[in-house]
Amino acid sequence: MRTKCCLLALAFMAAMSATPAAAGDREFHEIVERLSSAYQKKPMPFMGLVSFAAHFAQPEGVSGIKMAIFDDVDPALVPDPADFDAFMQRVAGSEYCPMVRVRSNRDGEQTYIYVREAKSGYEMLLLTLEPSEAVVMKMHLNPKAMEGWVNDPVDHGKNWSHRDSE
Amino acid sequence: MNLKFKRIAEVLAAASVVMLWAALPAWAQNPKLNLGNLSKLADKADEVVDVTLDGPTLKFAQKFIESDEDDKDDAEALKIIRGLTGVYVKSFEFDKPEQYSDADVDAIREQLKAPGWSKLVDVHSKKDHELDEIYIMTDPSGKNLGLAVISAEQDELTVVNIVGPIDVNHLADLQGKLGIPGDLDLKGDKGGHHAH
Repeated sequence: MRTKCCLLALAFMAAMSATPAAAGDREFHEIVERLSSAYQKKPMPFMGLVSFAAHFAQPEGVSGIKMAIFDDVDPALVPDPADFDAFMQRVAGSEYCPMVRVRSNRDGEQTYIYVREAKSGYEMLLLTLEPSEAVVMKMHLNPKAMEGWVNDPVDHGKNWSHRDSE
Repeated sequence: MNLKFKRIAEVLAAASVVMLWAALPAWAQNPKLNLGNLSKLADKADEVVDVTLDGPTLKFAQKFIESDEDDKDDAEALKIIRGLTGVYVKSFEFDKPEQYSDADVDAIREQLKAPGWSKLVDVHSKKDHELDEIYIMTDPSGKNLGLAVISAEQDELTVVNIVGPIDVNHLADLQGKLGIPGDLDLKGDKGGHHAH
């Protein structure tokens, strides 16, 4: 009975955290929708649960992680970089400041990091596209956590998206 | 009477031109470079890194570091980024040589001929087809307003533009920080000559 209650509570929290389109999440959802359409598939299920679990495992200074992972995608369906640049600028550019853009034609990887000021810190939108997977993340960073991102934004962006998709 | 008004108007117009002319150097001294012409290289490049640290991102980092100035590392970092308003990095790695042209680099150099810019380091290696150039913009009082680095190899091109009063003595400390590649020769150690 107790286990059942716990599972129900977890499921409820997962459902709550997966509830779409809070006002500040517009950009996150638009990006996920665009990728869903490009890849012709939905993100991995139970991402609400993963986000909820990440709540306990997240590094100091990071909170409110929202995540969508597309795995086993068809590399032929990866969005055209130039089109996607324009799309990202249109969707995130008005609210967020572009911080890092990495494009590796060698590895077929693209990374976008957008940041905006938020209550007591920063809100970061992070997107990585790889030939067979894509990760979209939104998170809140306190000033201490932001320091690392400012200090070494490129490596931070690469490491974060890899760690969280594993 | 009309003649008198005409004369006054002429004097005022002349004075306006003189005032505008006097204000022009300060107005024209914008250390932010237009790096837009490099965007076309993205399609040819194997790897492109584009870092923009400005506005609230940089301001907030400064505020945070100031609040923790007792920390030695933070104090060093503060020396470097205090007062900066922008750090812009564009870096391209190509899988074969000659994927960018002299014209691509010249378009940046043209901007560095504007008033206030002077070349601090100029290292060219014909043998290795490498160049490192560091430019600094100063105002008439000698205060640093910004900095530009062009680093090119046969299969690599990096341009760094720092906007704000950067301390040249701490330039090398910026390597590997703020999105600036760690392998840049910010001291001009590869040989060649230093321009002053």
